Amino acid sequence: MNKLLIGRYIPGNSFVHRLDPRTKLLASFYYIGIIFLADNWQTYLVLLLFTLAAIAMSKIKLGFFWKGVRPLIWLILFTVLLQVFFTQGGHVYWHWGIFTLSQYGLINGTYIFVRFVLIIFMSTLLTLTTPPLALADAVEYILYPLKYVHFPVYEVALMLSIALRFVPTLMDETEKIMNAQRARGVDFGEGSLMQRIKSLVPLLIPLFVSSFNRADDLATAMEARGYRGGEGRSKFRILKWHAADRWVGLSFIVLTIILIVLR
Amino acid sequence: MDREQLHIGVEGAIIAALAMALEYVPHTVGPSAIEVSLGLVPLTLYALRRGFRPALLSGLIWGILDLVLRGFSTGGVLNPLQGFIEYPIAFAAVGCAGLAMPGLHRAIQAHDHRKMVGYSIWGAFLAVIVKYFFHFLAGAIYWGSYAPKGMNAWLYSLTINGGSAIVGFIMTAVIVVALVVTMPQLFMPKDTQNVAAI
Repeated sequence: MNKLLIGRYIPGNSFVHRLDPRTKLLASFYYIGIIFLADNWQTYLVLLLFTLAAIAMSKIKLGFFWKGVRPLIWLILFTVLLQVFFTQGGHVYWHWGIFTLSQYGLINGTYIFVRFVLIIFMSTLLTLTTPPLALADAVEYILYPLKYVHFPVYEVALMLSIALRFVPTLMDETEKIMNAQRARGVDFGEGSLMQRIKSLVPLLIPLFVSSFNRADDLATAMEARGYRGGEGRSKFRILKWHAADRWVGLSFIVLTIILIVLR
Repeated sequence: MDREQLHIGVEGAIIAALAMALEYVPHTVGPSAIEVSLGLVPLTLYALRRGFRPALLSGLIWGILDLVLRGFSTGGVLNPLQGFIEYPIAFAAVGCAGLAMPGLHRAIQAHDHRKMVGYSIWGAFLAVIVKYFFHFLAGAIYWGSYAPKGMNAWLYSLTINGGSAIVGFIMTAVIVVALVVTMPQLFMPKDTQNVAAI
């Protein structure tokens, strides 16, 4: 488990790697939103070219992006087949019971497939070029305006940094306790459903005890160092917008205009 | 941020990290087609230990972690609204288990085992039902934008999320009950004055 990659970041120094994580996060969400503007082959072609250009600028092999599609392949195929066999309209090529293979069905199925692939490519681009810590900083920044509605932004920011820091540590600890319990004869994968659920208790009790102790020690240490939290605290990792981020913003505006014109 | 808030916040962060770490444990519980979230257990326990508001924040952190570490790279966001409901909102909703906290604490202090079991099951039920209600909404939004016209998106979402909710509830309730019976002190913070008011 300790070899398991958290996130899928591939280090690099490409144009996309150097972009501010906030730009990449906002752009990815915006892209997932505007992809629904596409409704004909011209708009899908524009989106495809835009996505391929972004991938080329990341200098990461296309194979890594196909790997992102793999975990969702069954969901994609199921959705595409639903579109292909249940959409009515246009020339009917084949009909059997409730299933109809029509011209519109084939077109919609193709569009849905391309939409899925493009969304996955773009979110894969985000995770391949942005370390999880930078992504968390970006999420934190996006939450800041919520302070005006009394949302505890600084509390969430602190909790997010601590949680990200401790995920690998707790994964290692889980593995250690699982191995220790296996050595004592606990079998996590055998028996009836109830037995398998109950076998998790000897894993969870030591994990909870050590997690609560760890939290107590950490909070006491922070308190001893005079941690006060709240507004005005300086940050170790400072995010700065650059000219490249503005260019990305502009390219998305242009893309939106093109999609609106072509649809 | 005062001392009490700091301790509760740090504990919530560690519990969110633990919930995330447990997501990577191979799931051997339940049918393989139904996704079971082992992370529900620490969050439900934390909600029953600290109450509604701290658990809501801890659940939100778990949701953001899941989005950043798994969601984006596995194509978990296929529609902006679906992504928003599926991650920050649904995961934060696990904090609703905290509504059962006052009753559970009273039962633990009175050593009333029947009520301890009852409140634990109620907490697990609230955590699972509210979380999967939001997954159901997110699923309906997803199917609404990807399924052919005329298809009942709500029914599809109910079928898919309903199975996960039932298995998730059984697993969470059994484990939380086993924990409250064998180690009730896990549900009571050292300094009971730290318990957040609902």
